[in-house]
Amino acid sequence: MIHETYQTAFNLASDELVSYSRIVESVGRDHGKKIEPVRLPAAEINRQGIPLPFPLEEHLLYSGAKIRQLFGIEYMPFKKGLREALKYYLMCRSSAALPPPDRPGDARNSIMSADLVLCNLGASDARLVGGARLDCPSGKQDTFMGAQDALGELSGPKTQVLDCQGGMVLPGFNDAHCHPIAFAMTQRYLDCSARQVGCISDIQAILRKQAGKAGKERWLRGAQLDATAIAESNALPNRWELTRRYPISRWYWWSDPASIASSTAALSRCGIDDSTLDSDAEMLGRDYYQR
Amino acid sequence: MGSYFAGRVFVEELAKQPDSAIYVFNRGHRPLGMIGITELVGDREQAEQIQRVIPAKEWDAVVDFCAYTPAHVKSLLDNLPGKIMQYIFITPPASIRKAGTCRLQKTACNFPARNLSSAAMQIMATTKVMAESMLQHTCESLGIAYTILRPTIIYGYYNYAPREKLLFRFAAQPSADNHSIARHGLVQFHLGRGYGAHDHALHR
Repeated sequence: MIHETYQTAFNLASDELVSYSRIVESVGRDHGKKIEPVRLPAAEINRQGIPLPFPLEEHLLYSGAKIRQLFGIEYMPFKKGLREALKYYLMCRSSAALPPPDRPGDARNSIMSADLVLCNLGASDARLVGGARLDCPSGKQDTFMGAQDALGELSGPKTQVLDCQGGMVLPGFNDAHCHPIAFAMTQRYLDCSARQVGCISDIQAILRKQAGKAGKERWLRGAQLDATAIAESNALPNRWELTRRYPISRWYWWSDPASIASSTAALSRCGIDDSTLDSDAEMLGRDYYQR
Repeated sequence: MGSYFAGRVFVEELAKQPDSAIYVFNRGHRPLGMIGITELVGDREQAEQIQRVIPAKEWDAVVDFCAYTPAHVKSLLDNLPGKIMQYIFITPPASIRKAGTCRLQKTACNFPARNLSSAAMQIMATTKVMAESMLQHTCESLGIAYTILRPTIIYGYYNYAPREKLLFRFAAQPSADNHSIARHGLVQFHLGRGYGAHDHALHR
């Protein structure tokens, strides 16, 4: 059948007839506006130079029967096609905040040209998909997160396109990474995240509650303590603050993957006391005085 | 050749086919940025760039969306490296009036209209017909299969220069400005357009 297409020409035309009245009706319906056409003679329209899409003095009728008989192709309905064209037109206008371009060159250069396009990626946060917009660090251009179909619209002459090969993209600074094992471990610890803890008394309440369940011989382990979320200190609470009313010595806190706050008893179990010196790999902070 | 509107849709659809190898040649003003698509940057009006940028391969098909003159067609066929198995020419239909008559000999001109004068439209239509003739003669002399596809009018996404811009502009304005279309003088004519049913008069 392919060879039947050789050395020949085909019109691509559906059977739908399109008129100005249909266009007006379709655009008005899709955009919820009542349009009241004004009738003018064709000569007057030409004299005024009103830009209309089709010749005014003749019908243009084409047949697509030849290729339809060969391949049975179907066409997008006129109303749907016009709606898509209008959608793209409005999107271009809103994206560029400029009048629609008259020339293709203008369209390519002025509309939706992204600095960077990351494609074929995984997102760590559901908020990043489905058309959300993020500010990119340069501040010059938004980064649009969406379907791959939008790639062509966003690319410009200076756009850098990176294929992430299905990898994960994490918003962050220079050293975005994660600690899955540590995270898994801390799921069994006391939750001292900002969701639960806003002040030192919150920590005390958690300690007190868990100490009652665990008994004196069990260690209390906390995790996810965010010093910046504690109203009083903006730092990890010291041992006096944590044991002010309910002296509990067997605790330590894993505040983040890089630091641990421990009671004196916990440190002693590790062989650490006042005489222990900092090593070149770690530093010991000590509560020498009360805040 | 050509990837702004219909060409872009074509590439997007073709890319869904497994084992497809797609090369796009354009001036690079608006890259597609699609995975698996090789984008070649060059100007088709510069024969040297066609020769230098496009690799010599056995091309199953060259699909041309943006040839408007006989020179465009001839230049590409003469300079494209490698072997072309089929040349698919996407071009609007065009008609040439017989002097002194209003009868359509082929189909009517279908260029982006700015109410061009009848003479200007005839010149454009003539150029299009000549481009098709150039394609036929050159392909036959080179032993290349060709197919001409003439979309009458294409509506849809990616249309960067819609014919209905006047009406679209109205739609984009705030609701309070409902009467602006009247000020622009939009008219309603009962002209059938685009998709015809009278094949007896229009076939080649």
